[in-house]
Amino acid sequence: MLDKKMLECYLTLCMKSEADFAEIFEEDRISEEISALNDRVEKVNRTITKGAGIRLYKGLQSVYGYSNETDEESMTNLINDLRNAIGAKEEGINVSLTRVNYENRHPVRIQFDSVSQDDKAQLLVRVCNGAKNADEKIVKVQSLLLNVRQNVQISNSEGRLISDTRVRTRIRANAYAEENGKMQSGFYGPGAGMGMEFYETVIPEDIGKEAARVALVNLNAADCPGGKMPVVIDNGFGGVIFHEACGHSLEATSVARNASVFANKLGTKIANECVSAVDDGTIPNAWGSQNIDDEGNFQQKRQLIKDGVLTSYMIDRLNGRRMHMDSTSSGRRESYQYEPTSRMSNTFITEGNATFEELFEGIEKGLYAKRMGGGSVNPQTGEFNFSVQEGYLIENGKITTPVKGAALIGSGAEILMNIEKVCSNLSRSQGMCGSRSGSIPTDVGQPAIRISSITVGGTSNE
Amino acid sequence: MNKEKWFAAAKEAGFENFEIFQELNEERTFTWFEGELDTYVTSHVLGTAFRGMYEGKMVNASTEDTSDDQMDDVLASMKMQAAMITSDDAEMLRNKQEIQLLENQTFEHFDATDIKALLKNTEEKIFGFDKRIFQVNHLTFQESTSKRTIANTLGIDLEEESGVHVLVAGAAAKEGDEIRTGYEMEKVDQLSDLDLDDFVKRLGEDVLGQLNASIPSSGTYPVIIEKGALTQLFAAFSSMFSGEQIHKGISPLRSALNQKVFSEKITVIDDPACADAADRCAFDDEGCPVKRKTLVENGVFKEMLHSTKSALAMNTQSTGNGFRASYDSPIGVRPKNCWIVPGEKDLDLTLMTAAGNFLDLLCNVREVGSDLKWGIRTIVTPSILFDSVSISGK
Repeated sequence: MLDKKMLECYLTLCMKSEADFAEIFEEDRISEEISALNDRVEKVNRTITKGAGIRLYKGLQSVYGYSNETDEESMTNLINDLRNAIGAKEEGINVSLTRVNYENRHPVRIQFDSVSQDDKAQLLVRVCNGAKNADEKIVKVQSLLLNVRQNVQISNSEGRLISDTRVRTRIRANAYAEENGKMQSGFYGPGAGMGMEFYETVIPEDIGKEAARVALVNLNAADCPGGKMPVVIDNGFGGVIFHEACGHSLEATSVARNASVFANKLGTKIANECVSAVDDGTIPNAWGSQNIDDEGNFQQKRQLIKDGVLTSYMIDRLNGRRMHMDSTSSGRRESYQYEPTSRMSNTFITEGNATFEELFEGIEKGLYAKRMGGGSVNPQTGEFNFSVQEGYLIENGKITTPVKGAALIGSGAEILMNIEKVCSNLSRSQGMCGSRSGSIPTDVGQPAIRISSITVGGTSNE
Repeated sequence: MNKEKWFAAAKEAGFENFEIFQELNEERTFTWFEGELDTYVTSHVLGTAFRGMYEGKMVNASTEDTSDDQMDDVLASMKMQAAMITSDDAEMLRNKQEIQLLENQTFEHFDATDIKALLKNTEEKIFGFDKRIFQVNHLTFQESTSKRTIANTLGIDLEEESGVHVLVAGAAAKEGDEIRTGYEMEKVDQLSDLDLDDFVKRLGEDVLGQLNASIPSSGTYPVIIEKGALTQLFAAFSSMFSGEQIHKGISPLRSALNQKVFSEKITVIDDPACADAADRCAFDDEGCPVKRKTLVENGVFKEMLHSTKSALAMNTQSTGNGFRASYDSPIGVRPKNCWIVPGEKDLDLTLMTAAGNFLDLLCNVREVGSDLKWGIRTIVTPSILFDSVSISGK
């Protein structure tokens, strides 16, 4: 990382321009990926990422440059390129930095590079054993252990100098079940903003077993019928529907440009009264948590929706200017190679009052989406689609036949109004979220919810 | 970076062979919004990846810090990794081979003033196309260049450069309460050659064509899937041709070589050096020469894709498809410039939402359209008319 004096020189040079704000984001990251097929380690890849991104604002205009050559000549050339783009001047302000110290909310007990390679490999062997022991129909197990330690230092022309270290670990398991020439796969991938002590809180065999369970269910699943119907979406990764269908449309990235279905709706009812939702980047050691966002502001808990009423957007510094609102510390980016923008952290619908059984009451024919797959959304129209990784028919209030090939299709604004019951079994799951500032770790989550009507895409038209 | 010094240190550390892969990416991106330059991004990133054979195991590392004082740490870390690998799969670095390099294309950097004028003009033309277009929500011009080098202790010493200019625009149109968005992208070789009116027309027709769409009743219909949507689907399933996935038994084509797997109207080709594609190469990321392969011919699965590792596992030769997803990813088997061969008919397009098994879908082809368009993609399909697809609507 650059020292304070050097940063002051660079920021002072940045401000010899028409810019009214300048920022330097430095990153030094070590990541390690260990992959296995069945109980054999196949690949190990260790990556060191090191570079800096420099950003200048003039009103609503921004220029951004990044490089992994951080010697004085390269940095000066980069800054001059940016000054010329925004309008260079001979005069400017002298920047003086003050380091901001704080208490780390996400302490790590066991750094991944203090654990032996054998012990890490053993975790993947245990994942494989958990899957293979679930059933002899499990023919292949792919697993991946991911460890990351990202050091960042952020300094800006307002005099702020602040650092953070983010440590994350995750195991991803894919189990493949085969019977009579047909193959189905199941996935499970828990993680946390923790060191290797995370594996004292989860049992590796259970990760493999859960992936195997989903594959086995799908092996004998029938084709899902299509059409509009009531749907119960279970907790945990079920929250991806809120993340995609609503969360992205509440990011200032789209709201500030009036390119969101929820633009200009603060204080209005956008969801059924049983729905409250938060984006909380402060949860200790959660997958999507940080001490500070990637613009150097302390992470916050944002109450997005309270009893159906829109109470906050997720706002970064630049979009805050466009919206005449303060940043909500939501500026995030994958790495120094991305300019930050407003992004989610740990985003979830909060607990309701319904029991799990009440969600199914009165449903003659519907779908129970126990495990969701991936999806996407168009924030401007709010239209989304998601695959259902594990689904079952609901018939006369009961969970019955497993079904495969289901997709949920709809619009975020409509779905929020159609959530009619929220259970009390909140849980969160881990995922990677892709958007303008790259791929970042986020938690999705919710208690089980019941949606009165949604279009289910399926291959059986019974 | 003194590569010879690294090679010597690797040999001293006990590596049988060692390879250095480097990729230098430079980029300028101009984004326009509401009549003015919104953002300007410039970048210069050099990534370095190492592969080495140590005690018969292939080990990987990558770094953005190649200072000489990193050498001992990187090599020590790679040796530790070798001890961890328990797979019996054979791997090797490649020997030097005769490679027919692509002819050098001169890449012209456009003047920033001309680019800004183009963006201003494009925005005005989009708004002028139809009064229902109320927002140009995305408008960028990106210039990117890449230089790739591979050198190893077996004599490979290769270098290749590429560059591309791309204009991308997105717009939103409104009629009543209904809002629809569209998107268009164009590779630009020369600013003077760009047919901006045609670009804006394609974008305008894309976004306006979605307004007033009715929701069909659920059922099974003949459906045309438009080339953009089908390209996304095809790309998502393209790993089925990977020799690595087939060898592991997790590809749906795992025991289908020389069998009819799709409709006889489907032929699939992979050619990393394809002259029509924007991102071409003469060799893969292992230094193996690329070649044109017919993966599926008239519905019959004829050939799979291989890297050196998957080829060794299946006792055959690499097809030159050992590519990295990015400089810091290990080599995998990846298609590059892969397409479904277009037909001759111009299909009349209709937009629908469909569900089904992709492999079944490709068995169910009535007509392959003639509208293949590369743009900057490396996997493309034309639009295709399918006989029977499940539609979930009302």
